[in-house]
Amino acid sequence: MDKKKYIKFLSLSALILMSGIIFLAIMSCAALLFGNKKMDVTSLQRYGLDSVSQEIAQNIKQPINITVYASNDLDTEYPELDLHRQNVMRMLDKFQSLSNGKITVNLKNPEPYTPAEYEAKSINIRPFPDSENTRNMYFGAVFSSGEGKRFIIPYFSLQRQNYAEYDISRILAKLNGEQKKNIGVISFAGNISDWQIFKKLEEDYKVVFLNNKMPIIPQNINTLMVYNPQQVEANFVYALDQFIMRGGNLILFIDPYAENVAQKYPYTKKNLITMLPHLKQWGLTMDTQNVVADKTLSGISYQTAISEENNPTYLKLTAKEMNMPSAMGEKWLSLLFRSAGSLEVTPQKETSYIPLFSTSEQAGLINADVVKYSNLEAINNAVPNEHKKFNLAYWIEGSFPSLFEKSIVEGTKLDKEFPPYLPSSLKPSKILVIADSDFIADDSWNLTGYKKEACVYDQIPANNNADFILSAIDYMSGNNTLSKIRINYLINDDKNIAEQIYAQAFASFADEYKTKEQEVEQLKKDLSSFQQKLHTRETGMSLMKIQELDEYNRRQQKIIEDLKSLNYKIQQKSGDTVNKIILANTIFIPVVLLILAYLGVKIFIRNRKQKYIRIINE
Amino acid sequence: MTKQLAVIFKKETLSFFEGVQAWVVLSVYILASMFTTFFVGGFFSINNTGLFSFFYFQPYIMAFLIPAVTMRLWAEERKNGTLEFLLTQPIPLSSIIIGKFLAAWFLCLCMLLLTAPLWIYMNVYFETDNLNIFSGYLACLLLSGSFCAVGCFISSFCSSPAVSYLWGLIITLFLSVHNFSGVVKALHLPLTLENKLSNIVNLNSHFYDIISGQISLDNILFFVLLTLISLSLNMASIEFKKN
Amino acid sequence: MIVVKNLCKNYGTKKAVNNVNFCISKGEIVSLLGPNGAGKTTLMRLLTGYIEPTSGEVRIFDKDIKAERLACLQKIGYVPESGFLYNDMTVAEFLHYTAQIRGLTAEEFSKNLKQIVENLELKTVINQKIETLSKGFKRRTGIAAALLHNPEILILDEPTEGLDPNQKFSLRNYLKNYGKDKIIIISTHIMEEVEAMSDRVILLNHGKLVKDTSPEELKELFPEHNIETAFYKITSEAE
Repeated sequence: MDKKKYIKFLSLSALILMSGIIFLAIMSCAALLFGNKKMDVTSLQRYGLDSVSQEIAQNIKQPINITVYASNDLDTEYPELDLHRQNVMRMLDKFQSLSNGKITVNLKNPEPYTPAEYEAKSINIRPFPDSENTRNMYFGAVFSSGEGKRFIIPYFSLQRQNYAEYDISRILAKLNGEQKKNIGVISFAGNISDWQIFKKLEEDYKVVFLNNKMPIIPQNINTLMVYNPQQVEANFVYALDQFIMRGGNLILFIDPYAENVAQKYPYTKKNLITMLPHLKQWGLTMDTQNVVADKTLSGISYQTAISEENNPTYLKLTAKEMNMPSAMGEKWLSLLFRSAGSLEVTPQKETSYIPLFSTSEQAGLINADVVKYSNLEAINNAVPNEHKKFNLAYWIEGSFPSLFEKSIVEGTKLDKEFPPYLPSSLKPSKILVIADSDFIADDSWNLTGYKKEACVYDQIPANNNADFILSAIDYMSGNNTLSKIRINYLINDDKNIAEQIYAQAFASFADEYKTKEQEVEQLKKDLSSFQQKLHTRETGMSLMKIQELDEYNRRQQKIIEDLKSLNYKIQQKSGDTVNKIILANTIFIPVVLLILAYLGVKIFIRNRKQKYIRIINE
Repeated sequence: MTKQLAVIFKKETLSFFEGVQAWVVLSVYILASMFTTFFVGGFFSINNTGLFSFFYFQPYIMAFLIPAVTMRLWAEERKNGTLEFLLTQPIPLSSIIIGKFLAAWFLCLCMLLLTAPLWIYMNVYFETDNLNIFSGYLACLLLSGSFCAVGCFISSFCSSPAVSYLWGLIITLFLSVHNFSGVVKALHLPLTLENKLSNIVNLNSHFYDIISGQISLDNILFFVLLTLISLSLNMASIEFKKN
Repeated sequence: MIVVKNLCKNYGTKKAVNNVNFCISKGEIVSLLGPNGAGKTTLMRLLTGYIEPTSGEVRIFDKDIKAERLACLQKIGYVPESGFLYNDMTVAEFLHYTAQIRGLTAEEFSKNLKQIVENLELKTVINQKIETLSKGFKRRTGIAAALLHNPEILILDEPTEGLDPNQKFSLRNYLKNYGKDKIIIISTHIMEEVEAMSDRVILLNHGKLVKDTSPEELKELFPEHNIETAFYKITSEAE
């Protein structure tokens, strides 16, 4: 009997083993056949490789070696990061399978104190502590080509996971492309070289900061960025003119009210703006007194709290308001303009004009000084609705005559050292005019804090301003594939439920909150004017005045207290909603459903019993 | 064949619901699912358009509960001696096996239906990615199907429901927590190959592929194959027991 | 008509059924006799196809049970030895379930149920859970389930065990009546039952068929004129 059992057990386990082998065989074949053919079942199509990325992968010429350094225990330590790792690996697999064997992907696990870890450290893969802070973990990658070019993503950050495909595609394209090209930058607003956008450009180009008083732009620069020109000298006008004449490409930021400059130099009374004479030559005019305001687009800068009122001179543009030239690929998700000017065009011969970005039909103009010196409420009240659409940026391609009749250095000693004077364009130029200097300022697009070791792959863009400029530069300098790479939006960070609940709770108190806030503003203003008066001794100091001051302070305290209580109420309300969701889904609804089902079953059984009795008694 | 299959299915389903088993399983399931969703999965703080917080823990919860669904199916027949009665009825063995399996799977469907209010609620008040949620539910159905089949198979060679539950728990936990990772690691393959292999046999990675919205045929095939193989082993084990 | 030809069943080295041949035709009530472990239950299981023979064949109405098992089973009502009932079902539920498995239509079920419940006096317990029933009722529920589709062949393993004398009496009468144009095989070791019911006795010992006669002839074999003595003598002789 025992033997029989033993045989049974043996044959059953043999069967199980055999099934296991069959299972493994079929699954291996399936993984080879279908493993990389993923169907994307998300409404937003979050996982597909972009067509441009596919093109890049297919056109790779030299072998590219990708080494990913990922700690094995990511899944237990940081599950979300591990999901990101899986996505990145899958993406790399996709690139690999599209590249006809040109791309090879290696995976290394940098266990602490192993050669792999030293290797990772030596190429600046960034360590981060595990959840217990006992050891280093890694998740980065090195991309290197046979030619010795090398790009490193020191850390695939979770906040940048939307950009993973963008980053990888760009790196692959760069590995496949030529040497870094030069870009010239001329600033009229002091040193701007510490802005994050230049860190981003530096990754792909050699950025050369040029003096704004030089009469010449070096010959090795074919793409030039000019930032907020003011008080320009004749030298610069000539330099820019001749730069365009030789077919150079230009990105110009020009603005009736450059907030960034105003912040930098708070004591300048007026915002100095000199219209470049070139604008007229290109057929452009700009309103120098007024900035565009549009209540339908009014965005909030990311720094301001959710409760703050939207500023109508901050324009958050979405794909609807964009009009990209086909060579530059699809539209961007969002761009932020802050107190932008408006551009108008009087078409010139042999020149094409594309209005890139425009407002809605409900926009109006508002004086730059009002914007500069008023509070939000005043600005809001001052916005007229002119039922007009304003253009914020133009893309111009064409040839132009020179502004000068002869070289400004003609007859001087310098003449011989200068390139010859050109009376008209040698070849067409591409010119991008953006009527907002703040467009590339950090606080328009970047959420990154300023960390010392931070690199491009740590940037957390809130808007696509810098991405757009980079793409424009790519296009101007002939990197047509690069200019079309877009960001794959894997996760919309601002869709988390707690925030949505808070916003819904806030909505019911919004009016109250707004009036209270206005009261605070008013009180602050009153108080400051009162203090001003005291200060300038228009009224003498007396006991009454002191009491009045006290009264102000008391009222202010009270309103602040009110605001706090309001805030508390909102917190309570959203807390209630959270509890409601939890209780309803965990207990109430299931209990009701289960009771209904239970009753259903009981009734069924009773009916059946009665049926049997009926059958027997018939 | 289908008619008799339906008879078995109906009988097993009714016996789930007439006793306490279904009610206990359903209540424990909904409590565990919602608890993990809200208190462990960070339902409110992470991006949840695809109900990720909810789906993430399903393999673990199902690993604990599905053996409780399937434990009785064959073990009790053997314990009560009704197996002989059942097998001497003019009904093919495959009908009995599939009928019992479907009954267990149906109970899993009921479990998932209990969570549907959350889906509806999310749709009314918040932004949702319904296609993604749909694929999440598909993943849960496939997962529960294969766990049911595994549970049925285990029940078929255990002599009492309690033993069957314990063995089932061991196997489902092995599948969903351990994922053969130790087995693969013990082979000492090169890292790339090891990763590929562990992806092939890793139930969780197939499951998370589907719930994150990236389905490939091999993900689905994994669960279908696991189900089919377990059911055929179930059949073989019953045949063995008979003789 | 049941034909059993050279039937063998081995469990490992043990021969549970060893080269058994017989033929039963319609209208016969056959008693399977034999001491414990003689192979009665195994033989019954072989007849129902529950287990497969090591060699030999069983033909039911000219169909091989191995090849056409489902068609054969359709004609068989089998009541195993004991405890094959679903304890959490009521009597009616169990009967209904059995009927459905055998593919009876709703009308057939209603008709047969009424008849059988009356014949086997199950009316009072129809909606009671089987686990709450007494042994006699459980036994009768099992027989009722086997009879539900009016099988051509009825195979009963110790049918009267646990019944009180009155119940035994009425069951025997009922079966005798039922067996007029059907085949009934009863396994038992109660000798009075053999005498009272069957017209044929198949005596098994150690898996072998040792006697295949009528009860009267079995009685006459030995001078005591007593089946019990005959049984004792034949089965101990073989050892």
